Amino acid sequence: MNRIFLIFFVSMLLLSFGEFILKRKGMDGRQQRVIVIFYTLTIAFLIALQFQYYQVLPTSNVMNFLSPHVKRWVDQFL
Amino acid sequence: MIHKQVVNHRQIAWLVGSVLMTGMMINLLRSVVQVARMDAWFSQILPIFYALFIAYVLSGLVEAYPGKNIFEILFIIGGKWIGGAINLLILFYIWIILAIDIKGVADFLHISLLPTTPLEVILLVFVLLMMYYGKTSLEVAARVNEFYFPLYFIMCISLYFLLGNEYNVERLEPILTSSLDRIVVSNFLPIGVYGDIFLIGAFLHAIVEPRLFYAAMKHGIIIVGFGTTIMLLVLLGVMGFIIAGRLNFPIYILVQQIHVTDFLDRVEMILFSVWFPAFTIKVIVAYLAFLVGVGSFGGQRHYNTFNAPCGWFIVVSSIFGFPNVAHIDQFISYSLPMIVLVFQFPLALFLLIHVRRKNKGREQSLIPEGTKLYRFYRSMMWITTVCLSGCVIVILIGDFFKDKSAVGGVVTAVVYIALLILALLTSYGEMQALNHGKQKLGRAKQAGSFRQ
Repeated sequence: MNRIFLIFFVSMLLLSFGEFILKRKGMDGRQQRVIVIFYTLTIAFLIALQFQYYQVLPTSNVMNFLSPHVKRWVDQFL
Repeated sequence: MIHKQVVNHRQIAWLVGSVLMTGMMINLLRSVVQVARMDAWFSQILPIFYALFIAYVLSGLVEAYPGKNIFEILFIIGGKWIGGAINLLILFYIWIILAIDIKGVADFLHISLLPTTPLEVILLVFVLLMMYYGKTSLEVAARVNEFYFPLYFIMCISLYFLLGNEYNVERLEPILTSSLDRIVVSNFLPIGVYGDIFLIGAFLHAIVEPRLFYAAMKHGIIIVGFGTTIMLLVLLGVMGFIIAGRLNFPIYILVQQIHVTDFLDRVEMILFSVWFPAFTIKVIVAYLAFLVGVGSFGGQRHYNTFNAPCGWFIVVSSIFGFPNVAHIDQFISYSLPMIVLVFQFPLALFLLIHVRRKNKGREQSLIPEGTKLYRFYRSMMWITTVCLSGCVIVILIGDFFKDKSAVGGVVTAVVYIALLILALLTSYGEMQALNHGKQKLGRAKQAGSFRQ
């Protein structure tokens, strides 16, 4: 992953998280929970992206697990 | 977020056009061409019917639940848990649309225009733009789109003339020689992209007149069907199905073929500068729909607070979900239509049945019956329906005669295009008649018919 991107992205992420921490008292509880979930997911994905994710975690296969089956079905149909 | 908003029927039609048409141009058309070969340009008619069905369901929801968006409606119908679970699936579906579009455009820019700029940086800049629009509402996107979409549509149609010197109609012939099975399957593939019309469901709370809303969406859908058919005709006529079926970005390569004169070089840059903002509007609409969905879980419509966390999440998750352009191509071509048919279609059917029961006995008419305007509206509506059904019938008849006469194929093609153009014009007439009826009834004192 590109280092310039990483520095820029992490600093912006920290900045907006800090802003959330400062403003969270004025927020509704449900709203806070939703925001925390999104930040957690973002950090989890960012960590996962630091690995050779296409080798260790074949994420593209997860999203595309249907495609080969549909393609085979289409080929058979034709 | 609940303030008076001026998004009129024309803007809604063009937003639908932008949402459905621009995303298709990156790489969907390749798989359509691979399946139906030189008859790929017949691939838009069943997706048009599917999108019309979704538009009909959405307009029914507006009538049954005025002032509520699809997320709120599902919470009302299904309760906290079932409604919440369905809403989570819808959010996932919107995330898929966002991720493939953002990653797709970043890949496209990286491969074709900015090879030395890191992919992540392109993606980040695009998401920052999206987050900027995330602070606004649909109104702003609709107004920007009003400037770019007509230009984009004109650009698509003008390709036929700009590429006139490269065009050879023989590359399309013999027309309708692909089997009917191939044409049916090629009609199945774009359903995934036409399913994006479901995004408009997130803005149902901003709509007042369901009938006018449906007519506007119908017009937008037919614009897309016609525009994409013309693009496919040009693509196949210039490149032929063998080359078009092997390119990663067929439309980009197509516009590179424009050689009008010796001194006018790189025309694709001008055309690209129109496509890019129109495509950005599509992504912004999807992002706003995502924020509205997240906002419904957060318990409010003020989605500004979710803008930053959702934006950062989309940057990393889109890279994570679709590592390269081949995966996106495969996903759009095969998985997305399946997801739409397995998830969106049953959900729309369920909502249709529910809405039918709820709206029973409720008659809403924008135009008083028996008036000249009403007769005009009815005739426009029926002609549109007849023309669209006629397109399907023409393909079936053309397929029947394909072995008997070569002229039959040409006649089929001419009638098919003529019916599509007629449907485009009559759907516009239907929309305008309803709008005039609304103005006459004096229902809307304001300039627009949608509020948010």
